[in-house]
Amino acid sequence: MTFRCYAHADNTREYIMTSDAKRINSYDFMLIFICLGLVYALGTTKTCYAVVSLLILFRIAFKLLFMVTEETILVIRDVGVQVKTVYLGGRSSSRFIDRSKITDIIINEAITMMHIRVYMAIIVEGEDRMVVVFQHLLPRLNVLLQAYHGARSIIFNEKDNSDVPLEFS
Amino acid sequence: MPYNICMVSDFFYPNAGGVESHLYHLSQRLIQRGHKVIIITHAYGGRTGVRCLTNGLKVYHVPMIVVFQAASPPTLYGFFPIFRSIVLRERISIVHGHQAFSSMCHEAIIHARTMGLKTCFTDHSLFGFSDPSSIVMNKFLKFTLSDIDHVVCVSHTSKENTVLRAALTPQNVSVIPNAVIASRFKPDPSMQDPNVTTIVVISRQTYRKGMDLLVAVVPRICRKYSKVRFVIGGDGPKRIDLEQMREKHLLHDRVEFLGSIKAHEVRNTLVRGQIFLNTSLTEAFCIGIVEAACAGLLVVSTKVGGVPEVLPRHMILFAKPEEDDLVEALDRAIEMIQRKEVQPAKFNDELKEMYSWVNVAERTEKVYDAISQTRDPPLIERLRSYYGCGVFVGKLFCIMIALDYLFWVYLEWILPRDEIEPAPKFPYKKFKKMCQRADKEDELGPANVNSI
Repeated sequence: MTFRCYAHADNTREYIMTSDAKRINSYDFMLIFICLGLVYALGTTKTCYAVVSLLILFRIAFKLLFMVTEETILVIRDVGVQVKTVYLGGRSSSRFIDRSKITDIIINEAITMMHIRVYMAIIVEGEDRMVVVFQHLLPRLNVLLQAYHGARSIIFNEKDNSDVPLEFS
Repeated sequence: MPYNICMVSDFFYPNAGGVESHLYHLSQRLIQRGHKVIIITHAYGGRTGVRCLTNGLKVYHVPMIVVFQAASPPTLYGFFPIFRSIVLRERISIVHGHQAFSSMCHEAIIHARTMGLKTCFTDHSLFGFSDPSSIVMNKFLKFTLSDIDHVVCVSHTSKENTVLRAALTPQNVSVIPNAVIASRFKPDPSMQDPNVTTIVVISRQTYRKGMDLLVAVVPRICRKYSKVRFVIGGDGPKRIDLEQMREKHLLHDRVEFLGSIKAHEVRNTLVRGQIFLNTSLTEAFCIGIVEAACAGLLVVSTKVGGVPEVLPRHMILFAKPEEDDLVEALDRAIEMIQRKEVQPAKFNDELKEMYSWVNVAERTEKVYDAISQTRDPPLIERLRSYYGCGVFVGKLFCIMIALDYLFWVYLEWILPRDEIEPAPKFPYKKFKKMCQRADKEDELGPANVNSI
């Protein structure tokens, strides 16, 4: 994953997370193996070709529509925050949160079955769900901290503390 | 030397009880002494995830199903991946489990040993040897405790019990009692009704707490004395019996039920009475009677388990756990109160010295010092100690431990150590300074910041 930061002006900052993950991953190899298995089991018949090509098509469509390649947070002073997700197929979805609706920007920890993940989120007034920034790529804490301090320094006019090291034990 | 300690138990806030408050207060005092403490418990309702309490005490609510009275079912290895992640990211060196009922605590101890961490276990209750559930429980306890660095018990009776149940060497078992915050249980004689003698009972209403005895005793006392009232707090399966007793003997004006009481309301309930009655049938260390004595009540209790060790003789009257003896003891207590033979209001000052969390934390720290010196036994040594557990179970336990070890190796491969990010440390000193500044700022008002 690569992380970039653009300061477009004094009052605007953009943080971009780009996924370095390989376009073809282990699931694709698994699919190929399944397809080969199918060919072996069914022989070179028409139905077999139909099934195999359908499977591959579905997989490609799924990747184009749902595989995330880039996530962005754009912070503008006194205006608000825009969170954007770009998918492999070029589709992108974004959400804008007005400055007056932003209650807080936080970093929190979440528990999954295997991991403890750190995430950055925006608490929006009047909503019971937070907006999670970099929701799909989930960068590491040191990256999150830069975006966190930068966003806070612009939205809440706080001092940028990102150069203060954290204590680990 | 500061340690990174991880407390594990199924029982923690928002569930209320003795183990829960013990965990909280002990952790707080250890943090104040410069250690880093985290607590792992299971999720309570919607309360999953990571939470921070006072002074940066981090609580991990791991999502798990709850089967019976806030205890989670044994998952064997299901808990290991997440436990390993937490332990590695927090750089834990000591795992401290609490309460034998908690399967989570047993699992954590086994996994911690596999990972080569130091382990410690605190037992909060007593068990029998004869009924089926105790036999299963004792086997389980023997399993986890056959390879543990140290065991802490809350009273000498409890130590004796644990040593017998788990076949431990007594040298590896130490006694550290519970404590109370005496300043939170200041007596207040003005709250008492001067015309009648009030007897307070606060406990979970279960069989173990001797509610059947209470059902028998209350009508007899009410018949004997016209100026005695009962205030009964707590909830549980036996509550229905108590209410039936009140209906049957028409004692609606004499017996008051308060239902379940929140931790901060306990003191206000206690100070309404002159006598505190405890009818437990088994008890490792009854913190309830210490709180009652602190709040200025004369205590009448059944003489079971660790109860006789807890209070000085002049604060407590003992009875055998049977109806007649309990009535007799209550007779004596009511007489003493009416003749003003004792001054329960002075108990608080005496107990303040005897039970303090600072002392408990110091002693626990000594245990940690001792176990961090011990040598890690190799896997074969561990297997040998598990093998000695019994003819059949010994082999079964060995298989389980071997599988646990293999699972750990697999986890190390699939989720390498270096990929787990360390968690940043809570800046306790900075937090303390901020609190002090805030305290100074509202010096005129009550200093409610960080009052715990």
